[in-house]
Amino acid sequence: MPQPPNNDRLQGTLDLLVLKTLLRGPMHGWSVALRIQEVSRDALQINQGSLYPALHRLEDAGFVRSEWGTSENNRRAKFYQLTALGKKQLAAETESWTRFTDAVGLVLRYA
Amino acid sequence: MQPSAIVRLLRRARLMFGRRSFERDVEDELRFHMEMVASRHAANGVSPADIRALTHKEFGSMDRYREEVRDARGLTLVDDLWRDVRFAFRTLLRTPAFTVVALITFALGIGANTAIFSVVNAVLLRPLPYPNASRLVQVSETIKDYPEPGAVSVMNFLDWRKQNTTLDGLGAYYNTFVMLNTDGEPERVREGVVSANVIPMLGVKPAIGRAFTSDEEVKGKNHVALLSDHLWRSRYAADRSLVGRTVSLEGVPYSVVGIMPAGFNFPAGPRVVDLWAPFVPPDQASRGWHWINVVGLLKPGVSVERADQDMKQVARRIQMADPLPMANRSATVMSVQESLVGKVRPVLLVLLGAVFLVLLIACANVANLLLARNAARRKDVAVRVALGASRGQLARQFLVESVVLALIGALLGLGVARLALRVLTIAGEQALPVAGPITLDSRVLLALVGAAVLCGIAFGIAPALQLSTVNVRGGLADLTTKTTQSGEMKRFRSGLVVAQIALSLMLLVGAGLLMRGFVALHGTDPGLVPDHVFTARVAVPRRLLKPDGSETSVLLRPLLERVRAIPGVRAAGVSSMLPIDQSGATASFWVDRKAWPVAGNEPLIEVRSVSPGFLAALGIKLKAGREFTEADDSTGVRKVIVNEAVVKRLLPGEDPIGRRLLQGSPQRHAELEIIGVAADVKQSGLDVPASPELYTSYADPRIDWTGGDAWLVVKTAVPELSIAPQVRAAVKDVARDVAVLNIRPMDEVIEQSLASRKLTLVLFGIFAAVALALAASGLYGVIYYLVTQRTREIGIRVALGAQTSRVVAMVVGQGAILIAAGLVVGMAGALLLTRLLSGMLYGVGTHDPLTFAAVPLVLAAVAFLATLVPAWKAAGVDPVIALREE
Repeated sequence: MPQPPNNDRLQGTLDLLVLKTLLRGPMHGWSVALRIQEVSRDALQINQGSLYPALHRLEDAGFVRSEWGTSENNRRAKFYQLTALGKKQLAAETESWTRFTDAVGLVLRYA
Repeated sequence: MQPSAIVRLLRRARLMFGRRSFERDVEDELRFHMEMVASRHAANGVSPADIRALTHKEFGSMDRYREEVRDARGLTLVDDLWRDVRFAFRTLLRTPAFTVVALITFALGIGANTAIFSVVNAVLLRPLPYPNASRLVQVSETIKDYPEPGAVSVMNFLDWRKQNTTLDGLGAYYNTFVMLNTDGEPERVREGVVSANVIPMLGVKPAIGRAFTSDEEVKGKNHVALLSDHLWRSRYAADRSLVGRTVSLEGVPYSVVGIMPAGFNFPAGPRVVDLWAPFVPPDQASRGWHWINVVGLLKPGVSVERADQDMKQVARRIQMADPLPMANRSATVMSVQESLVGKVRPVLLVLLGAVFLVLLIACANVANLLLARNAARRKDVAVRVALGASRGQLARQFLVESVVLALIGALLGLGVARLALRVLTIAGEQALPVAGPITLDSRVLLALVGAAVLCGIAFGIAPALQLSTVNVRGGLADLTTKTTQSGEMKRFRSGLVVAQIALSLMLLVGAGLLMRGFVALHGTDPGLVPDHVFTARVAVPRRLLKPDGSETSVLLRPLLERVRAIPGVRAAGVSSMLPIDQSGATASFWVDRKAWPVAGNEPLIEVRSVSPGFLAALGIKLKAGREFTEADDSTGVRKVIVNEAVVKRLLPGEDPIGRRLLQGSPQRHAELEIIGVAADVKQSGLDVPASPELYTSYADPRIDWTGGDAWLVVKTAVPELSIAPQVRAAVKDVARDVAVLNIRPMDEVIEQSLASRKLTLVLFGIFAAVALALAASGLYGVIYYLVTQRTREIGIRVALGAQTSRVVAMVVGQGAILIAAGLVVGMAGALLLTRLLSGMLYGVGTHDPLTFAAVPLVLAAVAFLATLVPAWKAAGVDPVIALREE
């Protein structure tokens, strides 16, 4: 079951970004970090280290699962992959995020 | 709990057990990341020194994220708990005296609880060992105004079987004994005679072979047997080829069709049945002769209550069709388990309640010990608070410590319970209707662990709260000056002691009442003289149980002649049932020259067939008329001796000798002439008032009695058991295949009838004694503590010239207040609670004034002693030392 969207916005946002990134397929922590940096055009300044607690948090909740594999440069690396539950959670979180930003946008425009 | 939550817990548990490899994985993962960062920078031509700074800037603190990963996985909590547990062990080891005393106290309390709970578990909670146990019901006949459900007549059973709509089957059974006389020594075995459908109804299949079939319920085809696993192993060395062969039961060949699984027993209970044979309804089944037991299987979804209503309706229909023998009779349905354990349930629950009070007292004691010890830890705690430990952390740590203490205590308690159970199963053999062994099974162990954790929290909560609120400044000030503890603390500890005294008073009052009841019961006149009376069961073989009464002429009379010739024998007789041990064969009688009451309202009279000499051997007084002689046989009118209760009920104020009892209906009845009146005997047990009873002559086979074994009673001038070999020889002399069983002095028969009361009393007594000891030590501890707290003050008083007696009086006075408070609360509690014992008391009220006066005095005396010791110590305080200590 998808959980109610996380109320802790900051942590929740990172979790959402990670989930969304992993939608592309299995990835290790490093490429998740690269991808978020690239796509956000370096605008999101997050500590790369904080990705790892997020990944473990998501795995603990059952949204992703991990497995050791070989990286592009032939190194042993841990790959993360979305689970079915994770996909549902991503949908729910995206929906909640959109509603939130829309609401904030409305307020900023008309209040 | 949601399934996803369980999955998560499992995932966390796996990590916890694979902790090392998890940590390594995290390290590997982080290192891979670092290397990737480094190689990227290196590719961009950054110098190695700058790389390190850059990576750190981009990544953040390794240590911090390592910690956060652990947090995300729920491992931090586990780590903290584990640290607390190790800390708890160290603390407990540092104060060994405290730890040992606390452990012993708690182990006693929880061990006793575990033992009693495992009895409750085995007797009341564990389902009977049949797959269909939850649907099995006992169907019995009831008589108006008679509390106990009773045996069933065969005709009723057959009609019930046809007419009920709520049962998937109804089967008859009874137990008997039979001589197994092939393949080695003749052996007397217990035989269960069961309808063919009984074993399938239980849901049990034979381990080897097959169960009975319904066409084996017919005379001539019924010579088939199922053997118990136990008999098969012990007598036939587990020979599988026995199935299909025949065994001889008193000369009649029975073909063995199967072996039941190990541990199977039916009817359930402590008596082990050795073999089973099919029940064959007699050709001329009677409605008036009630002697079989009936078990049924509820249809799926049908409740016991619905089956009960159904069966009562069936009984009403039978009564309308055949009113005379069924007047005042109906039927009742209850679960088999209930019919087996219903009677002991209140006793066991009262014992469980009593032992729980002991546990409460033990917990209070441990709490008090913890509080006393913690007084010495205040400085330590204050230092840690000052160094930044949070109150939550401290409270958790103290709770963990008391739970660890409780769990170790529970482990020791397990030993106590095993020991107690060994004693209990021996002592309770006759008192407990247990279907299986009493064991410490998984349910008991689970309850033990659960109770230990709860107790650990219960006795740890107050000390934990107290310590975690230690004031930093106050606590650190303690480093230099010793101040007395807060008044709140004193009040709390005093409250615990008051509770302990109150609880133990309740237990002591309960034990006192039971004791008084037991003594009263022991003192009741059974109506016979059990002293120097030898009793034994003579196993009358079936070949002699003929309608012509051949067992009397062939076996019993010659046997009695030989027994009377043994030197030291004063009188000897036999009876169909041994008084006090057995009862229950009754029939309705009326008396001549009086108008018959409405059918069914004739009094029920207990019938026993006895020989001449029986009354004399048991010292039953003859109040009028004469004893039986061998001439009272099947010639002339039937003769009976009645007891005084019969005279009181049927012939008050009249001369009973020569009057006739009538059995049957006004139109057709048998007549029995009263030739004598015997004193009342408490036939059904000392606690049951004597009921109407008549004796018939063993030489008159016209009077039906149940048949079967005869009970020999012999009054001796020599020690009663010393004649056992001669009695055996006399029996062998008369008939080779007759066994002599159950040799006991009559005194012991009476003792055994009191077995369950005695067990209750002994257990209750032990609990009360333990409670008293714990309460006394608790009181001692608190007074002692108060004295040490006041050493300085006392020292000043002594220095100023206070006399020893004044100091002692002051300390004792403090104790006296606690004792008085405990006694008042305890008396109130006892007045409320003793009514729960009403069913177990005999000849003494639940508010017996003597008990309620004496017990508080005893308790007060013991408690007084417990305060006197610390008071003397206080009196001996040397002012110089007391003042210098500070």
